[in-house]
Amino acid sequence: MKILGISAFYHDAAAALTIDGLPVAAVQEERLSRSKNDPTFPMRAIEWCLDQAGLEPEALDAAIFYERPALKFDRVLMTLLRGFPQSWRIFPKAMKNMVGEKLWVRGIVSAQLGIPARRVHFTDHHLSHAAAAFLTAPTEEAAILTADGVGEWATLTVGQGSKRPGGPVDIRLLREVRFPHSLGLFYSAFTAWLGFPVNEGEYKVMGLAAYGAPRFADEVRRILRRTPDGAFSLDLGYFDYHRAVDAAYSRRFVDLFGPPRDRFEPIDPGTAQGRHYADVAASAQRVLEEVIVDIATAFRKETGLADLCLGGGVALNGVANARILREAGFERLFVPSAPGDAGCALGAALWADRILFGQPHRDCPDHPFWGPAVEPDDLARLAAEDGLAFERAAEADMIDNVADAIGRGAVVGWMEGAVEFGPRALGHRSILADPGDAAMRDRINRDIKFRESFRPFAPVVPVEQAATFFELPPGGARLGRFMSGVFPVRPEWRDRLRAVTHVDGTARVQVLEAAMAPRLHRLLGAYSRCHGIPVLLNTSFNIAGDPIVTSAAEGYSTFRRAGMDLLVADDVVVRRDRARQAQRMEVMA
Amino acid sequence: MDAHALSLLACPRCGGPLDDAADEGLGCRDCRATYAMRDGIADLRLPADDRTEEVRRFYMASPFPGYPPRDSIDWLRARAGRSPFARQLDAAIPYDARIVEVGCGTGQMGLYLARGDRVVIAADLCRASLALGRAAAKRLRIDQVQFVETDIHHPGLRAGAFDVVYCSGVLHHTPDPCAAFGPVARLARPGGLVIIGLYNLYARLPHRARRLAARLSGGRWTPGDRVLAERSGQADRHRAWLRDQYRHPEEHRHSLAEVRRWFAGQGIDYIRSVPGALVGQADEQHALTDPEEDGWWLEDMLAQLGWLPRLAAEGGLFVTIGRARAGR
Amino acid sequence: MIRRKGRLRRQLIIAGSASATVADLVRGLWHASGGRRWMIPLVVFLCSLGVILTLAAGVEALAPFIYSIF
Repeated sequence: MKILGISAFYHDAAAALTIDGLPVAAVQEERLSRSKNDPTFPMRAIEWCLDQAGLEPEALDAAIFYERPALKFDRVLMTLLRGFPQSWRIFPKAMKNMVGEKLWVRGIVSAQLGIPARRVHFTDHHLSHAAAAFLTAPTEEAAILTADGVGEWATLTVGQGSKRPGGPVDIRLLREVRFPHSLGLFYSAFTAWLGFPVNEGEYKVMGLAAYGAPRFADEVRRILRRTPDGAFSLDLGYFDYHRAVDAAYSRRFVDLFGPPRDRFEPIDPGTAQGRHYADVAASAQRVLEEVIVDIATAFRKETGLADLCLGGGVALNGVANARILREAGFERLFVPSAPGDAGCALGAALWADRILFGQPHRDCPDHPFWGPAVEPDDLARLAAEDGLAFERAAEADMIDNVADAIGRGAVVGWMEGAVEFGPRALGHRSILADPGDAAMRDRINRDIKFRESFRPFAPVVPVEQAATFFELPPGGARLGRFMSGVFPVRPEWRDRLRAVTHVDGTARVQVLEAAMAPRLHRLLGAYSRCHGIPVLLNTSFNIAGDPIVTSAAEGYSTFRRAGMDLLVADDVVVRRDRARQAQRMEVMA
Repeated sequence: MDAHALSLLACPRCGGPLDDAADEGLGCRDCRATYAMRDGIADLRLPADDRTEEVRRFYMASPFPGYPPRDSIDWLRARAGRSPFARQLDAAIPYDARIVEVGCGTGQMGLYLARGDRVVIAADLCRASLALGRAAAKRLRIDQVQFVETDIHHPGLRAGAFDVVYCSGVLHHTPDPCAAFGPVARLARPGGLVIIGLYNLYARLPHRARRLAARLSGGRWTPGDRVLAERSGQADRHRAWLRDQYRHPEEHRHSLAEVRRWFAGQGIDYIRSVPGALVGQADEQHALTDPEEDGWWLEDMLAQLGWLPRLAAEGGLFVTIGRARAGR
Repeated sequence: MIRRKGRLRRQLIIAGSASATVADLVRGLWHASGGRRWMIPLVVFLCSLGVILTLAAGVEALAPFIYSIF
């Protein structure tokens, strides 16, 4: 069967196509529209997915949307009515938002694709998350935990699933926590209070938390309380997201933690005020971890299952993931490359295939590379047009040259094959550099990433040597496959890995298996032979504010604008021409 | 002064190269004229006519557009980030370009564009504005911008030396914009970009109506001025916008056809305008340096009428982009 | 290649499928526990308003930020 999964209208839209139960193509709209976290109907992504498979839209057996707009409308309406009269101010805005485009998804899909409305289906938001996590994971039976901001009503679900190749698939969500009690919105309130953009800046809270001590954990526990049934509830007096459009936290929240940070003011963890913010971030992070670890631990005892699949936006919290792995008792923990809403496009398509249409299970390839591939010929042409020399070398030579250049301080744009599906660059659209050079880190920050100084870059290491450099618990290598866990760097290596070690001595490491990205794996080997460590700094290939690059043209323009030293697209290598630049300076002088 | 930046300046009298004589300021190698460096800002301004002097005094009294009380590099980037035009401009400029902003005011665009190996010369007539810009550069730790006090008619800038010449919201405040365009256009190297922002003949109409309303109501009523409303909490910036938009002593308006003629006269190839000069086309699908398809005069006019509602809130400024021909 | 449809045809299709969506919603509320049937008129009203808004909404003119960038 040919099934198109669609996720849209909230944050980070995406499309995914499965044929006969296997993913064929999946891509986020932002990678094609070039507008970061593009939430609009993913027309470009859908078109690319269909082109990739050579399909006309009429050939689709079904299109499935990742959540139920009617239920969501019901939730928004009920929340507004319950919040009356305080909510009247936001009523028009919320309604316009909701009954505008979002509610008429069936008609929009049908109209845009030209397929009959009866072929458009819907699934539950958290079922999409669960399917994205469970159906792509190499396990036959697992517990499933999903947690995010909010979908229709559910904000956190626990369930279990079973599947085996050729057999039927079963996914059951057993219990759920409902809006307005939500771990995602809880964390987002702190994100907003700390002056970071909600839905985008949550990872900054996590990064900042490492600088602080959880001095306010008791206060935070007052806000996020535990209930006797093992779940949690929020003290809604501290929040405003259920009453207001643009406020996440209430006045009581400010009374408790102090005035919110002005987002234009830089954070300096060296000052008292900066430490205060870091302490609050650390407290929120600590309590979030406690709650989710407890829920996972209890669920492990209840089901006795060895594997846990984790989905939803909260699964992007690598520190919490690592704690679940260490403490909850599960042997293995699976987090997909796209646990957030974008990944729901693939989850919904797989769910439709296995459950809605009852097709037998087939194991999905265990990699995230479902997007458009880079065309090295395009890069060669662009460079030639610009008068920059390019090389096409045999792979072994090319890899040795790149490893050598990185050792001498080069910043390398590395493009290979298909784009990753999900928010992380996992070696196909990465910027690579020396992991031990603090000046290098500052240069990448100044010219390319504009990051706050308190956030480190991530390292990539081959699975064979990962344990030499990082303290990985059992199952840690698996969690590191898609950069889903934060683990300690071994103390003896922290100095050599300065640019990728966070202030608390940890790193969000990608543990690379040769089969997943063979050329990057060989590059790490070559780098190790020259410089003694098989670790590289790996950050996503984009300039701050842009989505990660997709095509050779975008890679080339980013390379030029950011002043990187080397650009690699498959077998084509372009160098920044320092000689030409120096010559121009002389002519001027 | 940084040697690279110095090589981009020139004697405003004879166009000769300048030397940095430390204590004595800058000296012209050819005509031996000397110029002062005061507070890190080169003074390459020659005495000008009365109307130019009046504009200068006008901006001395309220530098435009000014900085908010608390800014940061993130603020600057966030502000520019919400403008598709600014993002496209940044994307169109190579990492090692030499850029001149003629009429930089308080210098935000120059500071925004200054990263990587780019070098920016930010030139303006008004020292008060430049001083604010330089203070901001220090505060935001941007070291590749050189501020220069100079008159657009006799620029102390090296002709034919710049990859990008950016001059927005300036020429329409000179006594004879067409004449002032000449020296600006000549700054671009062959193949360099020339980017000119001007009040549009048509799109400025709503603002003129608004200005009339403001005058009749004694400045109390400025219907639909979104920018002014946004600055209501920042006294200096509010005043700067109010004066710039409502009380400017010198203001002209120009049509696209006029700018095309200026371009042709200076050997500049027209590339495109922002907003686009073709009817019914989205701007953001094109890079700033993608040549626009040929329109015709009626389409030009219709497109400019179409700008009217879009640009009204901002005062009707449009941008024209051209490329200097080789061997002009 | 997806054949793009004209705006009018797209709107007709959306309007056509809207009734089914509203019917779904109403059915949901009718069967919902906790006496929420009184919400039905409100929902129908809001939805009709929404359809009209969706169909009437043109391309929203975004502020161009060409002059007042900073």
